[in-house]
Amino acid sequence: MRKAEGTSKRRMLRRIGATALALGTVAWIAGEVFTWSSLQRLGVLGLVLGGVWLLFSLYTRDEPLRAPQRRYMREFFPAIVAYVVILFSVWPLLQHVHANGLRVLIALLPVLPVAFVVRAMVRLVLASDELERRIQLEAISIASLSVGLVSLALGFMAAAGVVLLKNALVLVLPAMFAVYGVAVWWIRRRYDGGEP
Amino acid sequence: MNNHLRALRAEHGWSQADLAERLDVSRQTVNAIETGKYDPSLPLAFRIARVFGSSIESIFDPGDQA
Repeated sequence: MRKAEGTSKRRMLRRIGATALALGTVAWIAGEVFTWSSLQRLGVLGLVLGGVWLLFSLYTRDEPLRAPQRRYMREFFPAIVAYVVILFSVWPLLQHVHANGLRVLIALLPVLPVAFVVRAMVRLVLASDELERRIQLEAISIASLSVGLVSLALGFMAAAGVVLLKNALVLVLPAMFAVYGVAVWWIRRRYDGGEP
Repeated sequence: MNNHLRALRAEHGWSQADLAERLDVSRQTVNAIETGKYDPSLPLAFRIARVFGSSIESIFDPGDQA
Protein backbone atom coordinates (compact mmCIF):
# COMPACT_ATOMS: atom_id res chain seq x y z
CA MET A 1 0.00 0.00 0.00
CA ARG A 2 1.22 3.48 -0.88
CA LYS A 3 2.03 5.41 2.27
CA ALA A 4 0.89 8.99 2.70
CA GLU A 5 3.82 11.22 1.88
CA GLY A 6 5.05 14.44 3.41
CA THR A 7 5.26 15.85 6.89
CA SER A 8 3.01 15.09 9.83
CA LYS A 9 0.53 17.52 11.39
CA ARG A 10 2.50 17.77 14.62
CA ARG A 11 5.86 18.30 12.92
CA MET A 12 4.34 20.92 10.63
CA LEU A 13 2.82 22.83 13.55
CA ARG A 14 6.15 22.67 15.45
CA ARG A 15 8.07 23.90 12.42
CA ILE A 16 5.65 26.78 11.78
CA GLY A 17 5.53 27.67 15.50
CA ALA A 18 9.32 27.70 15.81
CA THR A 19 9.66 29.81 12.64
CA ALA A 20 7.05 32.30 13.89
CA LEU A 21 8.81 32.52 17.28
CA ALA A 22 12.20 33.09 15.63
CA LEU A 23 10.88 35.71 13.19
CA GLY A 24 8.83 37.34 15.96
CA THR A 25 11.90 37.62 18.19
CA VAL A 26 14.00 39.11 15.37
CA ALA A 27 11.22 41.59 14.46
CA TRP A 28 10.68 42.58 18.10
CA ILE A 29 14.41 43.13 18.72
CA ALA A 30 14.77 45.06 15.44
CA GLY A 31 11.73 47.15 16.41
CA GLU A 32 13.36 47.92 19.77
CA VAL A 33 16.72 48.81 18.21
CA PHE A 34 15.29 51.00 15.43
CA THR A 35 12.37 52.27 17.58
CA TRP A 36 9.91 51.18 14.91
CA SER A 37 6.58 50.42 16.62
CA SER A 38 5.01 48.59 13.63
CA LEU A 39 7.91 46.14 13.57
CA GLN A 40 7.60 45.64 17.32
CA ARG A 41 3.88 44.86 16.98
CA LEU A 42 4.71 42.42 14.15
CA GLY A 43 7.22 40.77 16.49
CA VAL A 44 4.64 40.42 19.27
CA LEU A 45 2.16 38.93 16.74
CA GLY A 46 4.81 36.40 15.64
CA LEU A 47 5.57 35.46 19.25
CA VAL A 48 1.88 35.01 20.12
CA LEU A 49 1.09 32.99 16.96
CA GLY A 50 4.26 30.90 17.40
CA GLY A 51 3.26 30.13 21.00
CA VAL A 52 -0.29 29.18 19.97
CA TRP A 53 0.95 26.87 17.18
CA LEU A 54 3.47 25.18 19.51
CA LEU A 55 0.73 24.74 22.13
CA PHE A 56 -1.62 23.19 19.52
CA SER A 57 1.19 20.85 18.38
CA LEU A 58 1.22 19.27 21.85
CA TYR A 59 -2.41 18.19 21.41
CA THR A 60 -2.16 17.16 17.73
CA ARG A 61 -1.72 13.55 16.64
CA ASP A 62 1.49 12.72 14.81
CA GLU A 63 -0.03 11.51 11.55
CA PRO A 64 0.58 12.48 7.92
CA LEU A 65 -1.26 15.38 6.35
CA ARG A 66 -3.72 14.36 3.63
CA ALA A 67 -3.39 15.84 0.13
CA PRO A 68 -6.13 18.51 0.63
CA GLN A 69 -4.51 19.59 3.91
CA ARG A 70 -1.07 19.83 2.26
CA ARG A 71 -2.58 21.95 -0.51
CA TYR A 72 -4.30 24.15 2.10
CA MET A 73 -0.96 24.76 3.83
CA ARG A 74 0.68 25.61 0.51
CA GLU A 75 -2.08 28.14 -0.21
CA PHE A 76 -2.70 29.48 3.31
CA PHE A 77 0.78 30.40 4.49
CA PRO A 78 2.00 32.48 1.51
CA ALA A 79 -1.29 34.40 1.65
CA ILE A 80 -1.10 35.05 5.40
CA VAL A 81 2.57 36.11 5.12
CA ALA A 82 1.61 38.50 2.29
CA TYR A 83 -1.20 39.87 4.49
CA VAL A 84 1.14 40.55 7.42
CA VAL A 85 3.80 42.10 5.16
CA ILE A 86 1.21 44.39 3.48
CA LEU A 87 -0.35 45.33 6.81
CA PHE A 88 2.95 46.36 8.36
CA SER A 89 4.81 47.75 5.33
CA VAL A 90 2.36 49.09 2.70
CA TRP A 91 -0.62 50.07 4.84
CA PRO A 92 1.31 52.59 7.02
CA LEU A 93 2.01 54.52 3.79
CA LEU A 94 -1.62 55.72 3.99
CA GLN A 95 -0.61 58.56 6.31
CA HIS A 96 1.64 59.98 3.55
CA VAL A 97 -0.75 59.45 0.61
CA HIS A 98 -3.51 61.97 -0.05
CA ALA A 99 -4.83 61.07 -3.53
CA ASN A 100 -8.22 59.39 -3.03
CA GLY A 101 -7.79 56.66 -5.67
CA LEU A 102 -4.43 55.61 -4.28
CA ARG A 103 -5.77 55.67 -0.73
CA VAL A 104 -8.59 53.30 -1.71
CA LEU A 105 -6.08 51.00 -3.43
CA ILE A 106 -3.74 50.89 -0.41
CA ALA A 107 -6.65 50.55 2.03
CA LEU A 108 -8.02 47.53 0.16
CA LEU A 109 -4.67 45.86 -0.52
CA PRO A 110 -4.70 43.70 2.67
CA VAL A 111 -8.08 42.28 1.60
CA LEU A 112 -6.50 40.61 -1.45
CA PRO A 113 -4.36 38.02 0.42
CA VAL A 114 -7.25 37.42 2.85
CA ALA A 115 -9.45 36.61 -0.18
CA PHE A 116 -6.85 33.93 -1.06
CA VAL A 117 -7.04 32.60 2.52
CA VAL A 118 -10.84 32.34 2.20
CA ARG A 119 -10.40 30.59 -1.17
CA ALA A 120 -7.96 28.11 0.42
CA MET A 121 -10.46 27.41 3.23
CA VAL A 122 -13.32 26.84 0.78
CA ARG A 123 -11.15 24.48 -1.29
CA LEU A 124 -10.18 22.58 1.88
CA VAL A 125 -13.83 22.13 2.91
CA LEU A 126 -14.83 21.02 -0.61
CA ALA A 127 -11.99 18.45 -0.71
CA SER A 128 -12.67 17.11 2.79
CA ASP A 129 -14.40 13.82 3.56
CA GLU A 130 -17.91 13.77 5.06
CA LEU A 131 -16.89 13.75 8.74
CA GLU A 132 -14.35 16.53 8.18
CA ARG A 133 -17.08 18.57 6.44
CA ARG A 134 -19.34 18.06 9.42
CA ILE A 135 -16.58 19.25 11.76
CA GLN A 136 -15.92 22.27 9.52
CA LEU A 137 -19.64 23.08 9.35
CA GLU A 138 -19.98 22.98 13.15
CA ALA A 139 -16.84 25.10 13.60
CA ILE A 140 -17.92 27.69 11.00
CA SER A 141 -21.38 27.82 12.61
CA ILE A 142 -19.90 28.38 16.07
CA ALA A 143 -17.48 31.03 14.75
CA SER A 144 -19.98 32.99 12.64
CA LEU A 145 -22.81 32.93 15.19
CA SER A 146 -20.67 33.74 18.25
CA VAL A 147 -18.72 36.54 16.55
CA GLY A 148 -21.97 37.81 14.97
CA LEU A 149 -23.65 37.87 18.39
CA VAL A 150 -20.73 39.71 20.02
CA SER A 151 -20.65 42.16 17.07
CA LEU A 152 -24.39 42.81 17.48
CA ALA A 153 -24.00 43.42 21.22
CA LEU A 154 -21.03 45.75 20.68
CA GLY A 155 -22.93 47.50 17.86
CA PHE A 156 -25.87 48.23 20.15
CA MET A 157 -23.51 49.43 22.89
CA ALA A 158 -21.78 51.73 20.41
CA ALA A 159 -25.14 53.02 19.15
CA ALA A 160 -26.09 53.77 22.76
CA GLY A 161 -22.80 55.65 23.19
CA VAL A 162 -21.61 53.27 25.92
CA VAL A 163 -18.49 52.15 24.03
CA LEU A 164 -16.50 53.77 21.24
CA LEU A 165 -15.74 51.34 18.42
CA LYS A 166 -12.92 52.67 16.29
CA ASN A 167 -12.13 50.56 13.17
CA ALA A 168 -13.70 47.56 14.91
CA LEU A 169 -15.08 46.11 11.65
CA VAL A 170 -11.59 44.97 10.58
CA LEU A 171 -11.49 42.67 13.61
CA VAL A 172 -14.64 40.73 12.67
CA LEU A 173 -13.08 38.33 10.13
CA PRO A 174 -9.85 37.73 12.12
CA ALA A 175 -12.02 37.03 15.19
CA MET A 176 -14.05 34.53 13.14
CA PHE A 177 -10.84 32.83 11.95
CA ALA A 178 -9.55 32.61 15.53
CA VAL A 179 -12.80 31.17 16.94
CA TYR A 180 -13.05 28.81 13.94
CA GLY A 181 -9.50 27.51 14.55
CA VAL A 182 -10.15 26.80 18.22
CA ALA A 183 -13.60 25.31 17.44
CA VAL A 184 -12.17 22.89 14.81
CA TRP A 185 -9.53 21.73 17.28
CA TRP A 186 -12.13 21.32 20.05
CA ILE A 187 -14.72 19.46 17.92
CA ARG A 188 -12.04 17.15 16.46
CA ARG A 189 -11.21 15.95 19.97
CA ARG A 190 -14.69 14.37 20.08
CA TYR A 191 -13.79 12.06 17.18
CA ASP A 192 -10.12 11.56 18.04
CA GLY A 193 -8.39 8.49 19.40
CA GLY A 194 -7.62 5.12 17.87
CA GLU A 195 -4.30 3.87 16.59
CA PRO A 196 -1.17 6.02 16.76
CA MET B 1 -25.29 1.97 14.99
CA ASN B 2 -22.94 -0.96 15.67
CA ASN B 3 -20.43 -2.27 13.15
CA HIS B 4 -17.79 -4.95 12.67
CA LEU B 5 -15.31 -2.66 10.95
CA ARG B 6 -12.48 -3.13 13.45
CA ALA B 7 -12.69 -6.94 13.28
CA LEU B 8 -12.88 -6.92 9.48
CA ARG B 9 -9.93 -4.57 9.27
CA ALA B 10 -7.91 -6.80 11.62
CA GLU B 11 -8.78 -9.84 9.47
CA HIS B 12 -7.26 -8.07 6.47
CA GLY B 13 -4.24 -6.91 8.49
CA TRP B 14 -4.89 -3.26 7.68
CA SER B 15 -4.19 -0.30 9.94
CA GLN B 16 -6.75 2.51 10.24
CA ALA B 17 -4.53 4.59 7.98
CA ASP B 18 -4.45 1.79 5.36
CA LEU B 19 -8.25 1.53 5.33
CA ALA B 20 -8.60 5.32 5.29
CA GLU B 21 -6.43 5.49 2.19
CA ARG B 22 -8.48 2.78 0.45
CA LEU B 23 -11.70 4.66 1.27
CA ASP B 24 -10.22 8.10 0.49
CA VAL B 25 -11.16 9.45 3.92
CA SER B 26 -9.10 10.56 6.92
CA ARG B 27 -7.87 8.10 9.55
CA GLN B 28 -9.92 10.04 12.05
CA THR B 29 -13.07 9.24 10.06
CA VAL B 30 -12.27 5.50 10.08
CA ASN B 31 -11.67 5.66 13.83
CA ALA B 32 -14.91 7.60 14.43
CA ILE B 33 -16.91 4.99 12.47
CA GLU B 34 -15.22 2.06 14.22
CA THR B 35 -15.89 3.49 17.68
CA GLY B 36 -19.50 4.33 16.80
CA LYS B 37 -18.96 8.08 17.20
CA TYR B 38 -19.98 8.69 13.61
CA ASP B 39 -22.39 6.85 11.30
CA PRO B 40 -21.21 6.96 7.67
CA SER B 41 -23.41 8.17 4.82
CA LEU B 42 -24.94 5.55 2.54
CA PRO B 43 -22.36 6.13 -0.27
CA LEU B 44 -19.47 5.71 2.22
CA ALA B 45 -21.12 2.62 3.74
CA PHE B 46 -21.32 1.13 0.22
CA ARG B 47 -17.62 1.97 -0.35
CA ILE B 48 -16.72 0.25 2.93
CA ALA B 49 -18.75 -2.82 1.97
CA ARG B 50 -17.09 -2.91 -1.48
CA VAL B 51 -13.57 -2.67 0.02
CA PHE B 52 -14.29 -5.72 2.22
CA GLY B 53 -16.27 -7.56 -0.47
CA SER B 54 -19.28 -7.78 1.85
CA SER B 55 -22.78 -6.37 2.08
CA ILE B 56 -23.65 -3.32 4.16
CA GLU B 57 -25.90 -5.45 6.40
CA SER B 58 -23.02 -7.79 7.25
CA ILE B 59 -20.87 -4.87 8.43
CA PHE B 60 -23.37 -2.47 9.98
CA ASP B 61 -26.03 -3.37 12.50
CA PRO B 62 -28.68 -0.74 13.29
CA GLY B 63 -29.06 -2.15 16.83
CA ASP B 64 -31.88 -0.46 18.74
CA GLN B 65 -32.43 2.06 15.94
CA ALA B 66 -34.03 -0.61 13.68
